[in-house]
Amino acid sequence: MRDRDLDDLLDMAARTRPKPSPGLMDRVLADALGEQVLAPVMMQDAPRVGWLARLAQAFGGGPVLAGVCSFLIVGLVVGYLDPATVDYLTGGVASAETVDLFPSTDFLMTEG
Amino acid sequence: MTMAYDADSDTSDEALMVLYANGDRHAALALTQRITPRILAYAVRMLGGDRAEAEDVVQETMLRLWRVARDWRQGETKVTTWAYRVATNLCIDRQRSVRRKGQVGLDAAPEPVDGAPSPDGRLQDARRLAALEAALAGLPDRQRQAVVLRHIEGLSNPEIAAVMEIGVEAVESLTARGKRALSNALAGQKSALGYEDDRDAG
Repeated sequence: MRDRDLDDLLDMAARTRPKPSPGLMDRVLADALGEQVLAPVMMQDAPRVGWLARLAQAFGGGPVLAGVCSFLIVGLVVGYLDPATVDYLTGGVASAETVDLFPSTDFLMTEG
Repeated sequence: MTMAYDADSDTSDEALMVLYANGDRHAALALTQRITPRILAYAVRMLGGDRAEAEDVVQETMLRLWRVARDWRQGETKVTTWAYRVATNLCIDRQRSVRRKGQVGLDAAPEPVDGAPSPDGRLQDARRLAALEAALAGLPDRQRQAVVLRHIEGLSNPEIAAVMEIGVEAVESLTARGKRALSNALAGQKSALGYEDDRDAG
């Protein structure tokens, strides 16, 4: 077969392109719009976090912050109370004057 | 309703991809109108005229295109190059699957693309196109791909090189070998297809 004939045949093939059916075009477009509907949902930003929530996170989250606040309140109460009241509260512990930690080692401290 | 873009508008395919990803429905329509016919024509040639398979390939290729739109990077690849590449892989996969099954059904037999009954010259053209389809189907995958992209789809050699991910010289070599093989395959049917004998040609 001559080169020119083959070139003509290929040209003819290029001119007689198969055309897509309306059904195919509809299916492709439906896919396009279907994927487009999904896209904004997938690209949605995460919910915006407020500054108070970010501060709480910096301190370790809500439970930790609650504990810190509790101790803060206890500290304030103890600070405002009369010292006598504090003595009353802590008397059971602070009243011990001497504590003999090693009674059996007294002989080591004897001179001579 | 006024159409913002259509298949013939000046807006590039790449810009349409960005618009599509941003939710522009007109961009979806424009891309469908531009890319689908080209990929269908290519897939039909690559699949030896099997239109049903070619339509499946086109739909799958376009679906992948829509899904990749969100991550599309302008300037890296042309949309058509990307689509031809995906369609090529899908066509080759399907052909391998058919070969593994070891059968080619009647539906897959090459048929004239322009199958409308027509007298005289048009009937001859239909025969010639059918013979070309059959000869193309007999080429190795890479040669068929190069010949179809170059001589039927009208892509330039650098564009084909981008689609096939090879060098331009390799494209030229594949195209030349493909044409030579086509010529040999069709040589035995010259008379039946109404071509003059080489000796008669002036």
